Amino acid sequence: MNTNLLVAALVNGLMLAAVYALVALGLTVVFGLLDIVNFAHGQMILIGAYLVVSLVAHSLNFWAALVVAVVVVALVGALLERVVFRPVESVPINGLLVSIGLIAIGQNVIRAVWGPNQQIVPPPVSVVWHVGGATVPMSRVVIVAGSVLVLGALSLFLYRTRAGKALRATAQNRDAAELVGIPVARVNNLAFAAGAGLAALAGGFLAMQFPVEPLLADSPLVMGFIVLILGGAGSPLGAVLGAMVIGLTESLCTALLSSEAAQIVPFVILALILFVRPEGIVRIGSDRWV
Amino acid sequence: MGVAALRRAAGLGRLWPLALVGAAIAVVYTEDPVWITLATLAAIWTLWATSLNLIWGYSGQFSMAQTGLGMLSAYVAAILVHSYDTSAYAAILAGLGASVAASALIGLAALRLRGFYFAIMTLAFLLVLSAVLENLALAGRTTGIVVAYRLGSLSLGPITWDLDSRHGGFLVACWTVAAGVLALIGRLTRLRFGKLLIAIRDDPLLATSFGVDISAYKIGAFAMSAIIAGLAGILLSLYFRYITPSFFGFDTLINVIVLLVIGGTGRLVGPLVGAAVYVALIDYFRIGGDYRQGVFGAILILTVIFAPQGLVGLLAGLRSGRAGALRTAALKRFAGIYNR
Amino acid sequence: MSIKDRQRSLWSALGAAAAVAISACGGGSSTTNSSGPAKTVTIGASVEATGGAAAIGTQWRDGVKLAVDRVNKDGGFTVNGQKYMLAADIQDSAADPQQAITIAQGFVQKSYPVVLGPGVSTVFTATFQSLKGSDVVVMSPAATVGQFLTTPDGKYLFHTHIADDGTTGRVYKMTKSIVAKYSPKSAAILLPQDPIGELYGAAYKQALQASGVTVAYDQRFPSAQRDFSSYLAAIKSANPDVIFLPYLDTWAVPFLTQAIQAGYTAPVFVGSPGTSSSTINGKTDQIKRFVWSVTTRAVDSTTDPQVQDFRAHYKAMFGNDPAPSAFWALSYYDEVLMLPKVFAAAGSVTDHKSITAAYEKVTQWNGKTLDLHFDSGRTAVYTPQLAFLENGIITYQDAK
Repeated sequence: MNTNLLVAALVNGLMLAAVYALVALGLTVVFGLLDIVNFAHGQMILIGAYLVVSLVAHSLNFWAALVVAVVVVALVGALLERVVFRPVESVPINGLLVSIGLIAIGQNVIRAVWGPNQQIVPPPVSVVWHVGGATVPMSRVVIVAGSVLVLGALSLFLYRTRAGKALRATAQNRDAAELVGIPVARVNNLAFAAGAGLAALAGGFLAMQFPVEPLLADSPLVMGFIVLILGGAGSPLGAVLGAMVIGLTESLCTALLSSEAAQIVPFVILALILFVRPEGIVRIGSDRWV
Repeated sequence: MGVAALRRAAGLGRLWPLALVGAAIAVVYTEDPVWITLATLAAIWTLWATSLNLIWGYSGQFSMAQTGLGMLSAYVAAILVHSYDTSAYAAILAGLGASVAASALIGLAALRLRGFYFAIMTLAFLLVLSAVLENLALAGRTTGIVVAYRLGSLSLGPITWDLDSRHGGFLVACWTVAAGVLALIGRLTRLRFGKLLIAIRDDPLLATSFGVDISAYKIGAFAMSAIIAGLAGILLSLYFRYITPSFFGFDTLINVIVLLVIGGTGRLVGPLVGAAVYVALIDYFRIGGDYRQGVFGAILILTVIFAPQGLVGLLAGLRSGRAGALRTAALKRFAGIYNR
Repeated sequence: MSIKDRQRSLWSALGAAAAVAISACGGGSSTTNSSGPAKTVTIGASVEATGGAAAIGTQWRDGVKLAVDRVNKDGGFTVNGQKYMLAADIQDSAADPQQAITIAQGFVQKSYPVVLGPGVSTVFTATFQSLKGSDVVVMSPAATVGQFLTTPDGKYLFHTHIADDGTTGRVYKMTKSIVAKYSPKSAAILLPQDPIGELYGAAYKQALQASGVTVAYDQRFPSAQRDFSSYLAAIKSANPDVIFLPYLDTWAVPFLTQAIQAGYTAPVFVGSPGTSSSTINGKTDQIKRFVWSVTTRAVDSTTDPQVQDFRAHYKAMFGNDPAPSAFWALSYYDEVLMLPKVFAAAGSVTDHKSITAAYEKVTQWNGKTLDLHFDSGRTAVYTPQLAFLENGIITYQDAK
């Protein structure tokens, strides 16, 4: 077997996994706490990517632009939670419906502000490593490293800080959390902001690699949902593991088999895993988020 | 059952689906191609939304497979005619059978899962089916496949009804199917099966404690919704006379969900009202111009927040003379939502 | 007042309020206007200005607007002694076949003599099926138009792009000339999984095999794909001399960016019809040899005399030079500019039969941009343009 091909496929698979993990984690945080399947997550990814493009075009440094985009989108997420999701929180399916409405609005807003044509950010990292005969673009490594850092920080936050513990407590048992005095409404708001921020981060990373245009988020969002189910919806660890499985499968199938295989195999894996473990890789239920 | 209900059941109340067919015939006599087109699309939207209404509104399972089930029926029928020379009605039956079989498989695998699993698994079905058809040479891949069969014509004495005519025959055929489906579901909700479905939706635990096999009922409801989705898919394919997976994709699914919610879930005429509103706003008045989808999205959000029962629920509230009470309730709700 | 009349008046009210009617003389519909001597002829245009194909659809919309404006700036036209101005009722279908059908039926109802679009292949096919039996001239650049031209229902249908498929089509010929120029031993084909991808793929393969070139790699990717690095790795290991790229910037730009990243710039890259100079914008230092076929004609060329009139009017109307991708605007541009001559030759602004016959005859018109005429099969005939990038310099050649 061609080692160069394998190395390239592995690097790409890891980058896909990193992006999918960020997308799926954003979905997971919201789903775990509010039981909302947020289809408008794709719009958050896009807005994050477009903000990075616009800020860099106004001669802001890429990394500064990324931070600003994440913060702005997180605030948008918090605002949306307050204005359109909280009123329907008693019926989770209504949250899904609201998010469907937000997709349509988001698409229109994006088209009005940024238009249908693709926009390109000058890559902040353009070094390419040569490992044997294989080439490894530094930017992909940066995305993987960045995602690992963020995931590490997130887990520190969840397990070491008061706010993080409150978040986990609320996810496990909302009523009990309310009883012990955790401000559940604020926790939910925080979760939504975090989910949106993670989406914007994924969007910023995508903008680093790909031209930004209205359909950029479609594929990552679909894969993010597969990862969400695969990992056992609501489990952060499951989301990361699921992302690894799906990202590597997709890139290895594309490089070694065919594009058809890359489209079908992730679903086959999903079906198989769910057949063996209907609750996903990481069992959910009473022990989720633990 | 009260006397009024009995009278309603025996009398005109049961004939209202006929009025729909009558309205369709009236549209034919306008001879206006736009009205005929819009009315045809409205019938198909009504069927899509009714199929979702049965599994979601009446059985409480939010399915995202409905356009996928319709796609399956349309494709099976088209392929059978195209590649295997099957006769039109045999192909249609096979198409409906295929979607029922698929719904049974999905139901067995996913209905025991928690609510959202079912939603996402059914969405996965839609995505996988699209991906498979886009790679299947037999199905014409992304280029699509010609829908070669026709419904034919119906002769009653001196009158011949061309069921495929773009000048009205197909429109009346669509509304006959839609009205028939609505009438059947209206009947169903008065039967034991329908009542149990609603009971299961409202309180699954109680239903179980009475010894009801919840899964069997849900799978039954899902199979019925698959037949209705299949009818919608087949009629849509006959209207386009050509199909590609993109015609049944996520966008179409979203429209179905949105128009059902706006019309009113769990209500027989919800899909009808939703379809009428959708076709009027998006296709006729094009409210919002290039931003009509966004406007529609906003209407959806407002409906979900302020009128979760949909337009039908809202109208029912208004008609029963509780307009004042309704407004107070809405204001209270608004205050409750935003002043916490 | 009959239902039909009421509906008509509702329609005209709506038309005045909502339809994007363009008329340079400042008046909307002036069929009953006694103060001005000129009448207005309105044509319909169904464009995919929003939705998945918006990047192309907005160019189609602009092309129609521009051409209508161009005709009216010339003072309109005269048919049988009656002076006319031109207007276009431009409607957005969002590339949704249901909306496109409703729009098309609206055009039929309003008896527009000429209807442009839909231009997206799948949408066109679904819409045209519903137009069967309607007496209206339909013009579309969709790749699927060809299959209807010879059917009884396609008698008044025109294909505004040159044919891409078959051994006489553009893609076949273009491949032959590329093979002649670079004499590759093996080739890779990477196209999206959509109708155009399938059509181009078949034509490439046919031409390559006929020229004895090995097809070392041939894949269709899902159209949502943006990460091509895994495809690149596989292509690289197949080691082709020439790579045929997907036809839109959406895919071609990330593909080339990632190829440069992977240091894979040695082969000849071929842009399928749909490509423009924007595809290699900023990459001309690294990509050595890039060839593409311009779908219509490169409107970003400042030296091509054929496009100067278009460029001048474009700038006057929109305030900026046309982008490289504005070549899509030419899918309908000349067809609209032809109308004054067509109506005059037909001696009618309403009769679809004589308008169809006239379209096949007219060869000269004001503002002519493509060297276009329609053959008796109602397919556009114009000289395809090949663009070559070599050592950082782009040259355009007419492919004879």
